[in-house]
Amino acid sequence: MTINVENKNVAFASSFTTSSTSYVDLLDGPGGAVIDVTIVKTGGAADSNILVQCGACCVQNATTAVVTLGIHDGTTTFDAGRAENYQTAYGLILGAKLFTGLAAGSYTFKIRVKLSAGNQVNFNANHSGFITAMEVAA
Amino acid sequence: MFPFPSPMLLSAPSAASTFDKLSSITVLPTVTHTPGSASYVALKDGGSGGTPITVTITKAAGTSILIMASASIASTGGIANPMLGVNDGSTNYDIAETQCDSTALMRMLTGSRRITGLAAGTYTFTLMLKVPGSNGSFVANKSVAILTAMEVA
Repeated sequence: MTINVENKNVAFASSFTTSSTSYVDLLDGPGGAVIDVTIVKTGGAADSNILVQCGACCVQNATTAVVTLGIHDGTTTFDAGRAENYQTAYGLILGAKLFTGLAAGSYTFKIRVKLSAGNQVNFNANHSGFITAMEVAA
Repeated sequence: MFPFPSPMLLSAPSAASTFDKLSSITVLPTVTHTPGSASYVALKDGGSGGTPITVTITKAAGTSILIMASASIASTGGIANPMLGVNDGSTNYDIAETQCDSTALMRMLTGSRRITGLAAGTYTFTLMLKVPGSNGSFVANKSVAILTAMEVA
């Protein structure tokens, strides 16, 4: 079966900072674009699935933060990956989610982020993020 | 050299016909698992008595399996070199290795491997961890484990 693959890579234009403990959109700099990908699913619900993979580099401002990446499907944000960033160390966070049971059609997925309480991280201009969506046979 | 032109590169849509089937699992643990072994042991969700992290896929003859695996791991003391792998029921396959500098410094261990030579059938791949010389933890409420298997031409 032929599949569709869509991808977006972002080198952050400027530093996006968040301290939110609930999900917010990961943006390409303050007020910037969301990091999203749109894929046209050709197969029906029983025929194919969509695997979404995402990742982003970030740095903790001072203390230690657990960074969770979510994948938003237009309705719901799903926990997709997390890791702890230690103090001012840089870290890579990866996530993935398999979406099953979707009807044929166009779907947009975007990266969201949330932190453990009392922390703040920067997605800096020397960091990058990506999101990839693949349609594969069920 | 940084690979992406700033501020943004949107890659052009692409298509391929190599992927046939896929199975994937993402686990965010609520209980720490510290296998503490210099040889591969199953990385478990829910501590030492917990559930192995597995993915099952059926392949046809003449195809390969592409495994993509990731886990965020911390050392439990000193420098550790955790290695991530998978086991197909009989064979261990190395996937990735990294270094954790201290108990506090968590690393994302990630990699992929194309496994060839498997006969047609159904295979369950188990995520494995070994930490030669020290120890490594899959940490409650901090880590993630991602295991994806794709059948490819």
